[in-house]
Amino acid sequence: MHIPDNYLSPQTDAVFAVAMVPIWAHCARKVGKELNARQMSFLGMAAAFSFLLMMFNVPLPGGTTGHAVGGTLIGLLLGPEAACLAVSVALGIQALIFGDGGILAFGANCFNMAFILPFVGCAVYRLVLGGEGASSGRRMAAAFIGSYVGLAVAALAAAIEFGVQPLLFKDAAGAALYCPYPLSVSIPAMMIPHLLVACVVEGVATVAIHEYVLRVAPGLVADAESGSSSLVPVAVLVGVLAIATPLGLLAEGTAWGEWGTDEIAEVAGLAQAPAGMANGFEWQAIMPDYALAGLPDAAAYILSAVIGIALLAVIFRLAASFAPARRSGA
Amino acid sequence: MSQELPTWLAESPAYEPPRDRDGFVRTNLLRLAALPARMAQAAGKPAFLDRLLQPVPALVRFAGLIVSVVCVSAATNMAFVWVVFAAVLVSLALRPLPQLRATAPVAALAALIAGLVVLPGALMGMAPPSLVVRMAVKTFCTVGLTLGLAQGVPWSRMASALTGAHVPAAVVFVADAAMRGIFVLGRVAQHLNESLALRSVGHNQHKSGSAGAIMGMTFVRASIFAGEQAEAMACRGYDGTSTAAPERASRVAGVLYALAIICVVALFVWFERAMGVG
Amino acid sequence: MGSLDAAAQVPSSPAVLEMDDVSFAYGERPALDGVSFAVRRGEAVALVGPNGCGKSTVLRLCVGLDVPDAGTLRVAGERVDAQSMADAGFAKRLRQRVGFVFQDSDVQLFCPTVRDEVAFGPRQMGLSEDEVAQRTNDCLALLGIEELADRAPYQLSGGEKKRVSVACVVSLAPDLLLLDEPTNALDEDGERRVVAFLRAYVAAGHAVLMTTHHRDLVEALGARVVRMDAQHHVVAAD
Repeated sequence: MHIPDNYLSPQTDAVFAVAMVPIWAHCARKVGKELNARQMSFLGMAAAFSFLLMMFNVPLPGGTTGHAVGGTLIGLLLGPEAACLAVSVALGIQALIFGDGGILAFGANCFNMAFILPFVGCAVYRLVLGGEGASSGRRMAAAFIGSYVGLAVAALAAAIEFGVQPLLFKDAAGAALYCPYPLSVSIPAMMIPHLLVACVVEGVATVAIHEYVLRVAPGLVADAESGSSSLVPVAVLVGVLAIATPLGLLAEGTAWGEWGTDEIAEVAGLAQAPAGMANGFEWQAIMPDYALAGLPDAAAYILSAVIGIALLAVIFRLAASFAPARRSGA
Repeated sequence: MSQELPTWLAESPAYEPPRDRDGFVRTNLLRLAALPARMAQAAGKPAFLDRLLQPVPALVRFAGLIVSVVCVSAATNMAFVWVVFAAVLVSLALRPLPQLRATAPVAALAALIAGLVVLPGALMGMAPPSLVVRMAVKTFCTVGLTLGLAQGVPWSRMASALTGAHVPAAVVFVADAAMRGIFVLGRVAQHLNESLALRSVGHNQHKSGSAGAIMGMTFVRASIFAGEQAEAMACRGYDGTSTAAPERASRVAGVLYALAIICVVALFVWFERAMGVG
Repeated sequence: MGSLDAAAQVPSSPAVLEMDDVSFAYGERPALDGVSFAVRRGEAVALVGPNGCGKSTVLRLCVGLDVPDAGTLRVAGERVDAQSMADAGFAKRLRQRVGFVFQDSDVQLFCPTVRDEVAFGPRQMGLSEDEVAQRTNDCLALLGIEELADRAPYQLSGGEKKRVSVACVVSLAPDLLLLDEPTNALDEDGERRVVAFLRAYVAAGHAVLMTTHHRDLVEALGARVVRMDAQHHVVAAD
């Protein structure tokens, strides 16, 4: 679910980065106004745990595997505010050190995986659990449903973030500058694999790890009540998302470029479809004229040469260093 | 004191393991085992460019990264992006081999995935085909720039820079503890996974439970480490101030670097104007 | 570079482990350089040498956690290399025959209770629940940890964890036991129990390969010594 750079416009990235500031401030205040050394150490370890969880494959019935994000799990173990901070630090390290997830998209990624995921997940968990004294079966069901719904809502948020890009950010010719998929595409494209696979992985991993920790070391689990937060922000969020969903209907009628070759003639007022289009898809040149506006021919030639030489140097150096892989048995 | 072994242990009957699909153990082992290599700074001497930029304050370099990524991301004129692409390729080509191996394949893979994600949209007419190349090249640039900074500025230096910038000591410490914890807990998780692999000699009917046990025990170990680390720090007089010494960097180098970044922004603006934008 | 066939001491027993000119490196860092030795049934072998000489690496290779870069490694006559370890069935047979007790018990134990820990291996082998329970109880008794059966492993003391680690590997009924510093953290009583078990284990015709710095353990087991040096070679054997 990590959104890389360039899929969202810098303006979108900025909005979410700004939106996260009060959320981080609230979470830091809730966890402890002045963190003592033990709490800071623990938060660091929690962030490391979150990082590792995103690397860890969970087996599913049928022989497939997948990896969890673990926002709800960490929320159940440490409280949603601590989960928000821990996941944010983990996402920051992933983006900066490993190039996983965008730098500019950091705010959006944190909004989805560090805010929506743990808060919605924990709220649904408490709703399904129904209070103290619940049976272990109900607790497991609550953990599964909470993490399932938490990830689903986070995925929906990401889908909406993708889907509004072609509506809002176009070039002079009306073509999408960033993610080109409107809501009518981005929502089903994100939601179907998440609902069928990713959310199931999240649920299975959450239940397995939560139950293990409760069984082996219950004293390490933060008191759910002490970490409780108001449901109002969650309700507002869900409301906003519900209102935003019909935007998908707008995309249908205004999508550009979806005409078939049998329609283009009528749309463009021609006797027949242009030969190039009638012959099907063809690649445009790597450096089409309009994209090099402002660069003299000689400079473009030199630039091409620099790119070519550097690319070859990189490829051949990598190829020359290739050695037979020594695999460790497992 | 002599012992008598039970019959099942004294003998050595042949054992034929039942079939089972537990590739998740193998997959996790490979991923976790690769973690230290990804975490460590590339071995060997620093790249020429990093030696040149050594006096520049880490935060100025980080700000330069953000500005560069914004410009690349916001560029509508691909000429600017190609210039940055050329610069990234040249910097990669000049890196020592270990750093090149840690950076180039990751950036290339990210670019490939970016292009592939957009490809169906281009094929279905939702976007011009040039968007595929645009996304791929932009992604290569932004990931290449980010990983280049990560290679050139060790985390310890970044922590010192944050301390010098009066970022709250708590924030720096949490990030620092997280970096350390990833390595330490990664090894714990890897060893636990090895232990599971060594005793997975047949059909495991509770695979999810086993995977849950690995990560659950990692969480338990994290809790114990955190407590012990805090106690160790208290024993050595930690009082809440940052453990990282302020960074030693050259103000002049910082100013020159900032001027260079301003030139990059100016170039971006000039190319955008040439497109008739802005 | 030493290349000694130390198995000449027990000529009549078949070799359960044979290393012939094995080299291995962790990336750029060499760990083993042309190591050769063998372990036969009915004997205990102690690998000794300075820190970092490759003792633990030898154990890791024997159980297939890593594979040799060069040379030949055979366990019970079957070659252990990248190709054979890629076969899941072979890997499982190997790990049933060769039990590995880690130096750090904290990373060996992951089950909720000691009983679950010891039963984990036998459960996977397709044994009936009665057989699993029998094996579990036998192992707990052999290592003197019956009273710990329902405790969480991570809450135990270092010595208790070490005995649990041994028990959870023994329950697989291996032919060869690999032990990395087996008496670390053990008190006098714990050490006595572990030594008594290992003596019985070897006397039953199995084999033990261990790394240790403790001379009295070597003497107590009557182990043959294989010495390694800081250059990752085998240089001497009794």
